[in-house]
Amino acid sequence: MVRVFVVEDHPLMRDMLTEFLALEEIFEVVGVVDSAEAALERFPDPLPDLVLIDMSLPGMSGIDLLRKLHERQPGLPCAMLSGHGEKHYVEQAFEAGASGYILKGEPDELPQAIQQILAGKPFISPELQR
Amino acid sequence: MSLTDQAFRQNLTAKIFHGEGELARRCREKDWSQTPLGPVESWSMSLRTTAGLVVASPTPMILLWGPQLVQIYNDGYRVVMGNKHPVGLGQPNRDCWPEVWEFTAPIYNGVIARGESFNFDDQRLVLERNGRPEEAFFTLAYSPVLDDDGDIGGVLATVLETTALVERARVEEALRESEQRIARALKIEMVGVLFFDMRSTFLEANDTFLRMTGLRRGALQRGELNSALVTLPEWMPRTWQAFEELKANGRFAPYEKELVRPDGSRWWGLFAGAQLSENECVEFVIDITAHKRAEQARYESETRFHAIADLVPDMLWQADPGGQRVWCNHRWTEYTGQSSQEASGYGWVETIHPSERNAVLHKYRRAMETGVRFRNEHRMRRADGGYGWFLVEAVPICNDAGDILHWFGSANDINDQRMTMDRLEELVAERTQSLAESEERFRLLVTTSAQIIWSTDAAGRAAEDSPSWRAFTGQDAECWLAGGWWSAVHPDDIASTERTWQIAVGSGQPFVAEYRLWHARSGNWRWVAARGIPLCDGVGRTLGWFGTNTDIDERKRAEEEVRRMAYSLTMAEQEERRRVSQILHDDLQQLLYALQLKLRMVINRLALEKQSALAEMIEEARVIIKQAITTTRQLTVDLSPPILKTEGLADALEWLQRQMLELHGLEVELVSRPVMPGIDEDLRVMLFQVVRELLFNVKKHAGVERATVVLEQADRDLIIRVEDDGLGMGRSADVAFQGTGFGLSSIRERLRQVGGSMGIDSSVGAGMRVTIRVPCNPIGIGNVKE
Repeated sequence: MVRVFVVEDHPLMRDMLTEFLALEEIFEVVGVVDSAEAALERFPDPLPDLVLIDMSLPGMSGIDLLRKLHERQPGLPCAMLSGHGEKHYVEQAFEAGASGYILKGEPDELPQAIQQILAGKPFISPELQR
Repeated sequence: MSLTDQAFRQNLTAKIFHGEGELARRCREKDWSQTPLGPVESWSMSLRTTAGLVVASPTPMILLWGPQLVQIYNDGYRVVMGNKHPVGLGQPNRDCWPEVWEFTAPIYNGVIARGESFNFDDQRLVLERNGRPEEAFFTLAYSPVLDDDGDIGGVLATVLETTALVERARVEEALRESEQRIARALKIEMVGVLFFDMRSTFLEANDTFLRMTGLRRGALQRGELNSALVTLPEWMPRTWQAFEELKANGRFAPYEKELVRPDGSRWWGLFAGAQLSENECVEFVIDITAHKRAEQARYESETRFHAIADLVPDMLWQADPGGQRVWCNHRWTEYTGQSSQEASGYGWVETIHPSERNAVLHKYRRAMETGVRFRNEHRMRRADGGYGWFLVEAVPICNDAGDILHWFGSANDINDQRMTMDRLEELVAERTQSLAESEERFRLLVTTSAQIIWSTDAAGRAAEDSPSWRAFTGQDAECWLAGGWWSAVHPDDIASTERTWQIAVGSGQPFVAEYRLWHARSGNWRWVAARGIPLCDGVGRTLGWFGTNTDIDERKRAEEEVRRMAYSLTMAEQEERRRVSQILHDDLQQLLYALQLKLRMVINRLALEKQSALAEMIEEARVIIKQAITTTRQLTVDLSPPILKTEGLADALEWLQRQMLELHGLEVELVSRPVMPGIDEDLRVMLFQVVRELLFNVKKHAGVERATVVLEQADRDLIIRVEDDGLGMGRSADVAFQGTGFGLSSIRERLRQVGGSMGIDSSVGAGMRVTIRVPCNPIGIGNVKE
């Protein structure tokens, strides 16, 4: 069972992500917060297997959160979930310590990306690789 | 008186005046008591004796006795008395001869007072002895006569009238002189003298005449010569005419004729003659051959001159010294229709326009009198009755002595010239009037116009007062006229305005400038638009400048307001784009992605329930939603690249660099040097848009696939250069970019709003280099520097 911690500010997205991942038998959503600050404050213990972070967060951005988590738990896999299709953001995310950059577009990429990251391979949505 | 006394007196008188002569008788019969001498018995012995001797003497004598010189004369003297006799007997001398008293009085005084004697020979006296003044000559002798007591009692004068002798002597003298003159005349070398009889036979002639005629004295003395021998046959009628005149009048008027000598040579003579006696005449001859030949030469010369003069297009004429016209050329007749005969004398005056005739004639006569050249412009009548303008001149032709021989005149047709001048004068008058009206209108405009109106001289110096300028600025006339206009101009605008004005004055091109001018009434600076144009003469020379200043402050403020509004609108649009972009990203994309997740879950559920048909339908819907997500994502970027919000300008330009290559095929080299961080987001967005627009321009217009963007900082200014090696552009191409929606002018205006500027270095075929400079801390909206 893969334990996933979700940081997403949009309420409907939070619900959908939670529901979507819950339906996958291999995933367990161990926590959902709506901001980076909340994530840092209420980070799960024990640590999740993967942190799914929305890039555009109110207040502290997803990138900044990535950096902080990377500082705290350097080996903790974190995937950036983003609506931004510019490569610039992809590079930023990986520079900040992300293990994957998942574009909010194709739902099927999400479980695939989590599994690939946990397998130790960085993930970038195929659309951004064209 | 008793009879005895009377007898005594008669006896005494007869003793004193004895003899038979008239005067003796009259003296005896004279009642001497009625004279100043008194009765004869009272006379002294000396008087009685002397009076008796005088009356008895045959020599003309007169005795003047007593203080009153009472006259007693004899028969010899009677002739001298004329009709003064017999009254003169016993009459005081002065009463009898008042006309010669002036001559005789000193003589009498000399004789009586001093006892002197006087003698005169052929003394000329003018007497009135026959009722009229009469010249007479006398040989006179005056001597004193003593009275009984030895004193001088009277004057005895012997008077011998010599008038006849003097007259004869005169005649004889005249005759001698005449003979001498004739002798001299005969000796005159220049004048031939001929004596001839009434049958025209030559009697005598001087050597000059013989030399002139070539005749010999021998033939003359033999009486073989006459007029027919020396006169050409054609001149004989004139000769006989003179001869008839001589016989009728005793003389003939001088005349000229041509003669011939025996050797056949011809000569001209001027003849004048008179009859000397019944059968003798004299004729004087002057050889005028040289004169006639000169005259002939002059005539031929004049003929040639007149022939030439007839060919001249001007009217020519000649007048005698008194101004009487004697000749005019054909042109005169052609123009005036007046024949030479009609124009002669003063007939030409008729051709002068009636309104000018008297003045011309007066001036002409004055010239003739003074001998001063005549010059006048007046109208002369054409043959068709119309009139034309002529310049008429007359100059005196003089001989060596300065005497006027004749006047020579000309009349030059100046009608066209005069008409042109008249028209020019009319035009000048019209223009002058027009100018005066224009100036009046101008002054009215200057004093009443709401605009500022001014004028300067050609060098740009204030030429006259400008009330409207003074009213606007509050300057005084002295300041304006002294060139102090600039002191009313905003300090920031003086240099540029002065420079623009000097360029206009130097080049003669219109002056156009906008600057702030002090408005005295409101106490504020107000924007004015100045326009000046050069006033030129007919050859383009600048005479001065005329200009206006129009208050455009309201317009300027309105424009500024429009710019502010435009900027606000741009900013609002930018903000709106950002807002929409954010909504698209933060909401719509999330919703769509959430919907995708949901539909994925639904499809999985339908698959479990083996509702594949429905699952497929939803899958189709999911594909559509995925496309919607992709479109929305791109739209988000297009509306406002999110990177601008989150990253610095350099990062945004890097993103743009990739965008241009990926989406538009333009390879952009980005040279990004360190710049001050924290550039305002609005400025960042604007500069990003400016660079993106410039790159679009390169893509669309430069004809190249490469461009370079340089980002750097100089002092506190941010500098961005966008360069390409493309086609470049001329100045007018700036306008062409207006249609792109974000043209260069628009860019410049937007930069100006933040205190920045844009420079373009480009020419056709040499690429383009656009340099943008903005302060890192731009001036906020509302503090825009003008």
